[in-house]
Order: sequence, then C-alpha cells, then structure tokens
Amino acid sequence: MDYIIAIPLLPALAFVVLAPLSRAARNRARYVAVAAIAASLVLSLMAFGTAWSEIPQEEHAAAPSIALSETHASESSTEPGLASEGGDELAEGGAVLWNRSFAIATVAGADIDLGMQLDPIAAVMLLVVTIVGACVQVYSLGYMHRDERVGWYYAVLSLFTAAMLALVLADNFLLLYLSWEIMGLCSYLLIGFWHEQEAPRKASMKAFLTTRVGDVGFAIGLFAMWGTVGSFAFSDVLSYDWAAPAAGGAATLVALMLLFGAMGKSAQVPLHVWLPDAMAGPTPASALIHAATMVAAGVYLVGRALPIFEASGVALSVTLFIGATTALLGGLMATVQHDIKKVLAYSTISQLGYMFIALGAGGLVAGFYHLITHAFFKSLLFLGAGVIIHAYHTQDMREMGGLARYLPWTTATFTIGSLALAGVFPLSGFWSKDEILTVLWHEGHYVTWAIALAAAFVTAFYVARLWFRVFAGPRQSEELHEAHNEMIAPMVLLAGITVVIGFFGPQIGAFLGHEILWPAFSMAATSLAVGGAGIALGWWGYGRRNLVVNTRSLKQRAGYGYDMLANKFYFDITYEYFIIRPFMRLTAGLAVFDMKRVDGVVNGAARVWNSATSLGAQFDTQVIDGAVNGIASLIRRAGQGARRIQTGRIQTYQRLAVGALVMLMVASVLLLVAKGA
Amino acid sequence: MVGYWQLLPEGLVLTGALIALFGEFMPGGDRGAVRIGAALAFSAALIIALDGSSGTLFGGMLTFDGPARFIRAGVAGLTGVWLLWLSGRDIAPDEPRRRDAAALALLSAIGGMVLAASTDLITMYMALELSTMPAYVLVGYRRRDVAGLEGALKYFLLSLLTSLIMLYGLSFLYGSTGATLFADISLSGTGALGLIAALLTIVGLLAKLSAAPFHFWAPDAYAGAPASAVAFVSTVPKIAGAAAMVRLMHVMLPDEPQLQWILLLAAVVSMVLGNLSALPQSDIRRLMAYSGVAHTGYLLLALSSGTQYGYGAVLYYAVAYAVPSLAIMLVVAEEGPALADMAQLAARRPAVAWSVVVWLMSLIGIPPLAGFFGKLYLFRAPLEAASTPWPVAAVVVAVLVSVVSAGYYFRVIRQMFLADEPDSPCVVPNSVASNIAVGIAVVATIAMGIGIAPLLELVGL
Repeated sequence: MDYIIAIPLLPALAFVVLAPLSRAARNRARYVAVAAIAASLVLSLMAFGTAWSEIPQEEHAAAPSIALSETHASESSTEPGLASEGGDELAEGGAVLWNRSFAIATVAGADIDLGMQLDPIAAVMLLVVTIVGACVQVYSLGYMHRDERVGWYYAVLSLFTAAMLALVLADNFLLLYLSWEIMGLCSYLLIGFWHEQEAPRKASMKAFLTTRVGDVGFAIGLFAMWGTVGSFAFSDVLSYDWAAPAAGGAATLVALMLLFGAMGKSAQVPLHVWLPDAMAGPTPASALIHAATMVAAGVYLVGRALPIFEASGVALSVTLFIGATTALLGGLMATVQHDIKKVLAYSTISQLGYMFIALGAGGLVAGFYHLITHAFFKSLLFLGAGVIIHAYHTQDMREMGGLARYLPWTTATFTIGSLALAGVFPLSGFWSKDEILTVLWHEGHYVTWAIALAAAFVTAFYVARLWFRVFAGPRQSEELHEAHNEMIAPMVLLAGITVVIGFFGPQIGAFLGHEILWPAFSMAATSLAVGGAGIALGWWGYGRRNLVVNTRSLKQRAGYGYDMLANKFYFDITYEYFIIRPFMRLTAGLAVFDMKRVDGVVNGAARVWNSATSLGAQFDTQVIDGAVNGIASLIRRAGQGARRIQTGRIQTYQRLAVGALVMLMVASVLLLVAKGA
Repeated sequence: MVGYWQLLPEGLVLTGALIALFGEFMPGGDRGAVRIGAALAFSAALIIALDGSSGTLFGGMLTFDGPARFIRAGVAGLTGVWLLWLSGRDIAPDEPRRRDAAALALLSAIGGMVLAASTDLITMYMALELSTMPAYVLVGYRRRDVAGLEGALKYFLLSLLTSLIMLYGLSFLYGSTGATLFADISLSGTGALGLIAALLTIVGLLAKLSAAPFHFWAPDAYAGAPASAVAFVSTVPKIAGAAAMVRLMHVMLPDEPQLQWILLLAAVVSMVLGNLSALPQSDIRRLMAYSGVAHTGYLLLALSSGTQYGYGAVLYYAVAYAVPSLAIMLVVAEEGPALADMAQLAARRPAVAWSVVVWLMSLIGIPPLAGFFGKLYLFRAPLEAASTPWPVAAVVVAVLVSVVSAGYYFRVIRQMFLADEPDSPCVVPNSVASNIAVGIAVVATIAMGIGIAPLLELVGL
C-alpha cells in the first residue's frame, strides 16, 4: 500500500513543476495540477476501497477499537483476518492499516520521524479532500480562465492540497503541524491572490496574523506534549496515561493549547474574525480552503487528540463552550450580512462550532460525520455562489434576485446545498446535525442541546433569506447566463453526494469505529420542526410575493439587537481599537525611516538605473577599440553576459540568492544520499 | 596578557569610537577625533602584534590564538590606515562630516576583531552583525545621494535575508547538537538536518564575503557608495568573515565532507563570474567589487581543501588581499570613481601612481609581493589535499581566470600611464596624513611578501 505516499506527493510535485515556470508557461501548464489531483483522487479511492474491505463493519461495530501495532509492515496488513489479532492501542482512532516512518533528523539524541499512516478516519478524509479538491480545480478551469495569473493560482492550490493530504495522513503531531503551517501560507497567498486591490491584501494579512495567534498556542501545546511524553507520534501520545497523577495538569495544558490552535484555524470565537474577510480571495479557493478542508483541520486536530481532552475533562468542557458560543454567534451574524460570500463564511463559522460541540460532548464520530457532510454541501454552496457572482458581477444580495428561471442547474444544485445546510430531510446535513443533537441529549448536555437547536433555527432562517433574495423575486439584470459545463459538472457531483451520503450514515459510523444510529423519531421531528420554522420565518421576511425588503424598517424593529449583529458583536472593533491601533501607534513612534526618504529611494532607483544603462551603452562603444584580439572580445562578451543578471532589482537578487540556496541544499542532500547508497 | 586584559585592544578601539562620536568637542574637531581614533586603532594593532600570549575567555566563547592574533592585528591596523587617510581627506567631496564615519568604522572593527576570536555560535553571530551593521550606514553615508541610499538599502535587505538564513541555520545547529560552543559541536550522526544546518549557516558568511551566487548586492552597493566608504566596507569586515569561516569549517568539515563540494562549487562560480564581470566595468568601484568576488572565490578554493595548510592560506590571503584593495579604493576616493579619472595619474602624482602599480601587482600575484605568496599557498592547498581530479581542475580554472584578471588590472595601469590627459584633470590637494596612510599600505604590501615567515607561523601554515 505504499502508493499512499504518492497521494500527497503528486500535488506537491505539481507545485514544484509549476512554481519555477514563467507566468505564460505556468498558465498553459495548469492542467498539470488538475492531472495531479485527479491521480490523487484515484489513489485515494483505491486506499479507501482497501480500507473499507479490510474492516468488517458488523464486527467492527461490536468491537470498536482494533489497532495494529505500528510496526506492522504494510504487506502483513493486507493479509486477511487481521482484525482479530489487533491490540487496543488507539482507543478512538480505529485500526491502523498502513504505516510508514521516515527519520529525518536526530535532535539532542531523539529521532524525529515524519511518518504517515492510513486508518479509517484518514481514509475518509482523503476522499473528502481529493473529491472537493478535484471539483474545485475543474470548476476553476472555467471560473479563473480569464485571470492572467491562473497558473500561480493552480500552483498554490496544488501545494495546499498536498499539505492537507499530508495532514490527514500524518501519524504524528509534528507532520500535522508542518502541513498546518503550509496550509496557512497557501491560505494567505490565495486570500491575497488579487493583491493589486487593497481589500484582499489586508484580508490576507489579517487571516495570517489571526491564525498565527492560534498557531503559537499550538506550538506551545506541542512543546508541552514533547516535554511530557517525549514523542509526537499518535501511537505514543494517545496511549500515554494522561490521567495518571504523574502527568499532573499536563493533559489540560496540552489540550487547551491544541484547542487554541484549532480555534485559530477553524475560526472559532474569538479568533473567527479573519474568515469573513478571507472571502476576498477567489471563490473556488474559498470553497476548498475556507469552507471544506483547511478550516476543518482544527476539528480534525481536536478529534485526533480527543483522548487528551477526555483525560483533562476541563478542556472538553471548554471545547463544548467554545463550540456552542460559535455556533450561535456565527449563525446570528450570518443573518444580517448582505454579501453572499460573507453569509456563507459566517455559516461556515457556525457549522464548525457545531463540530466542536460534538467533540466537546465526546462524540468524535458525530463530529467527523458533520465535518464530512459539511465539506460537500458547503463547497457546493460556494461553487454555486461563484456562478451567481459571475452572473450578477456583484456579491451584494440586495442587487440580486430571480435567478431561478435563468440558471436552472445552479438553482437546482444550490437549493440542494441550502436545504442540506438547513438540515432538511433527507439531505446530508439533516443526518449529521441530528447525530450531534442525539449525542448531546444522550450525554446530558441539555443546555448545549438547546443552544444547538437555536443555532439550527437561525441557520434555517439565514439560508432561507439567502435563497429567497437570490433566486426568488424579479430579476435585476438583463444578461443572466448559466455557467460553463466545467463549472456545472463539479456542482452536480457534489449535489449528488449531498443527496445520497446521509443514507450511508450507519456504514460510515461503523467504518469510523462508532455506531451512527438512525435518528430517533422524536429527535428528527424536533429538529425538522425547528428547521421548518426557520425557513418559514425566512420566507415571511424575504420570500413573500410583493414584499419590499426594507432594511431600515427591520433595523428599527430589531433596534439594538440589529446594531449588535451588524457590528459583528463588536469583535473587529475591539481588536481594532485595543490591539491594532495601539500597535500601529507604537510602530509609527518607533519608525526611524522617514517615509519621504524611502519613496525617494524607490523613485531614485529607477532614475539611477536608467542613467546607468545609458552610461553602459556609451562605455561599450568607447572600449571595444581596446580589444586586441578575438579571445579578448570573447571573454569580454562573456563578462557582459554575466553583467546581464546584475539587473539592479533587489527582488531578483533575493530570488537568486534563495534559489541558489535551495539548489545547494538539494545538491548536498543528494550527495549525502549518494554517499549512503 | 591574561584574563580580561586580552580584550584591551577592543577596549582601545571602543574608546576611539566613543571619542569620535563626540568629535565636535575634541580639539581640532572631527579631524582631531579621527586622528585619536587612528592612533588608538594603531596602538591596538601594535599591542596585539607584540603580545604573544594566548588563552580563552568567557568559558571558551572567545579564543585568542595565533590566527585570532593575526586577524585582529590586521583588522585594527587596516582600520588605523583608513582613519589616518580620513583625517586628511573628506569621506566624499560634499560631505565634511567625519565623526560618524570614524565611529562606525571603529565599531565595525570591534565586531571584526571579536569575530576573529569567537569560538561560539552566539558570539560569532553577534560579532558578525556588529561588523556589518555599520557598513550599511557607511554605504549610504551621503544622505542626500539617492544612488548611495539605494545601494545601502540593497545591501541591507540582502544582508538581512542572508543573516536570517544563517540564524535559521544556527538554530538548527543548536537544536541538533545541543551546544553553541564550537568545541562541543559535533555534526556526526545528525544526518541530513546537520548538513542543511551547516549549509544555512555558511550562506550567511558567503554573503558577507560576497561569494557567488550571494554577491549581487556588492557591485550595486559599492557603485552607489563613496569610494572611501567602499575602501573600508569591502575589506575589513571581509577579513573577519574569512576568519569566522575558517573556524566554522574547522568544526563542520570533518563531519560533513559534502560541504567541501559546495565550497568548491561556490569557489569556481565566484572566480569565473567575478573575473569575467569585472572585465567590462568602467567604474573602479564596480570593478573592485567584482574583483572582490573573484578573490573570495580563491579563498573558498583553499577553504574547500579542509586542511590546516588551506586554512592558514585563507587567513594569510584575506589580509594580503585586503591591504592593496583598501589602498586602491583610497586613491580612487581621491581621484574619482570612473576609470577615466585615473588618466595620466602618473604625470600628476607619480608616487601615488607607482603605489597603485605595486598594489595591482600584488593583486595579480607578482613576486615578491604579498599577493604572490598568498595565491601560491591558496592554490597549493587543494592540490595537496586532492583525492579526486575535481579540485585539481578547479585550481586550473583559478590559474586561468587569474590570467584574465590581469586584463582588467592592466587597464587601470594603462589609464594611469598611457591614456590621454583629460581636459580638466581634478587637482587633488596634498595631505600629509593621507600620504602617510598610502605609504603604510605600500610598505605593508611589500613587507608581507618579503617578511612572510613569521606571519605564516602565526596562521599555522
């Protein structure tokens, strides 16, 4: 099963191929990235198929944890009948089907391994990432085809996909962290993709800095983990006796720090402020990174480390609290947005909060189940939003309407996605949301259950508001046109998955190592009633015939509450006043460089370069007569060739320096390998 | 001297820097302060040269041995020469302020002196930064000159980049070995991480030494700077950098023999690129920048041998290159940066012209000057250590390109002696102090060649 290594490696290779090309060549070569993700998808399907057949679902449901010792080679794991001889190492993670470790270094006597493993969770996540990734890349062929830097877009998308795949395959927290940071970088690059405009530039900075705040917590958690366990491997860390008195408060410290990192990445209150701004990036990238995969990495991290949280207890409660707060606040903030992508962004925040609720209640599989279903229907919604934005050339819903008759495919798929998000039977969101509600009820978290139900109501309301504003009513533009086929096809595929995946809940649950039951009738009825009420309110507010939507009257009726929502609960303003502005004042006070002078240097540089080149031209004519013979002029010409890379641009020099460094590093490692061989 | 007295020379130089900062209150103003600085720097060099003791300080973070003594004396002495020259001249035609330049040069000299003695990652990095930070300011010394500021900014940005890369490497070195003292660092058994750490660390020094392909800042920075600043910046920090490189290689090369190939590669690229790029230059500052790249290539060639012999050759040649290079730039600062400005120098100032000839001969490698012996040892080191034909091939390349280098050095000589008198030759006022400085440089270039034996003993050749 060593082909699994190729799953993250292929997109990484696509990045390596695309990155050094010139812009024009890169644009033409974008199909390399599509081919790579397609190949990864095929390999992921193979890996998933193997895993599915390896784990007998019925037996597994009875004995939920079957784990192989990590030293088992891949060959032995493909033999039949292994399930019976498994140990009980990974209480929550399920069986490890394949494992490979690469020692990269020895630090102070300890080996640092970067290993990968395949277990049921990883197998499912591989599928989610590659399916959504492939859909987004195919969709982008249509969506981005006019952009002059589409090649770079594809390169970064490939790097991101590679990092996300490595993250789900990691068998240790170090590789997880590494991939996590690479994803952060890609997210930064894609949010600021249109860096000529100010908003994306600012948003990318905000996203990077806010998630960095969380990442610092993550890093501290890793240090504490190493200090306590002396290893980063899942098998060592999770089998460590965190509840033992010797561990002291380590479990709580590690768990809370990891949670902090997850909050940054998964945009949980109060570190959620970056995600709505991140919508400044290209919409397909938002679909992949800021809806389906990267933001779910925080959920994935907490899920992987759940045994530590359970040993701590406190951390579990904090997770529940954060999740509940975020689910409700995120949903509420979504109700007042006018930008279609921002509605979806706040919705994502809220749904991620749902997943945290599930994890906080100890419902690992319920959380992952919602992560999977959400990944499909939310990326579907984002892709649909992309088509809508293309059709109307605006993101403001107040300037939209009446799309239903003109964009049939988009309307159909977007409606499926909306209903899934609202939790309507029998679409995927219904099943996973009910699973979370069931877990909460069973675990006795009645208050949280009520909050989750309230969040479900709010969700149904803003979904209905969005749908009626965009698709119902009179049309606002004459030139509405349906999208290209390469954009429609991925949406249809995702919609299909959204429709059918719910019916496989019990099988998926058994595969992941915990049973998922058909929801009890009372629970389903409650959630459906709440969802229905939300949709009805949305229709009453925005869908009625002859209704003139008047924001001002709504504002007057809702009064203070509306202000609070419109100001996003004052999070951004608080940060602006208490963190960003004082910091800016500080830097302005410390700034030594006079801005005028810097500007002068930049302007002067161009002047100097112009005069330098004309000087060089004069010089050429004067000196050539000094050439005594052919060899001398030959050497001189070589010298001028060498002078040509001396462009005078600092960017060129830095790129050359870093490029040379990378080449030297590759060369020296190759030498090392050659010597070892 | 023992104990903290070993830092007495650094203390003297620091005193000079502090005095220079308050130059306007000194008798004779700036000029007087610079003279005091020069005197203190010379006395520091003298103390180092006469004091034969050796020892360590701060638990081995500083080691005062033969090579440290040689390099520290060289740094202090050259700084003295530069300051002596400055006391007679302006740093640039329209820049009468000297005290800041003197203070910066003296601070940079302290960095260089400590760097030569440092045997610890932290002191090495701190000293390296101290020796280069003042250099940025010196390059952009004329505040209203856009070209100078541009050069300074480029120098700063690229230097910053490579410094960060180096710091990154240092953190890996510490992480994988758990030690910062050179004596405790052992890279054996650290695998690829150790190799990459070593490589990242070296990059910082390669950039300070302006070795290809990290040299791009040098021509641009020098061409914008006052020639007098270039004289200091292109030589004194470089000597100390070479010394630090030798110390690092002592630690790293035995465990990571792959570095040898990296150094060899950088050496060949630097020699070829530097010499070829120098050929078409019309600005002597640029010409000397590329010539510096080429000479760094020669140094790396000997360094790659990994033998005591090679290390000694590097240390010796670092100084043997710096003296004439600094002196030529001082003359350029007097006459003007363009090659055409040197026309008929022999007629106007014959003594100076012949001095330039001596320095250029040394750079080309004509016996019995310092440069000849330096190159001899540099090229012999890899030949003696060679176990594969590649170092031998590299030496052949080195010899060939140094023949090429004679081409552009002779162009300078041709200008001085054979070119037509320019229409309006600049009249350089006479200055006793700067003439003495130039004289010292000539004597040093010749003496380092003729009286080479004790120096070789010092650097362990």
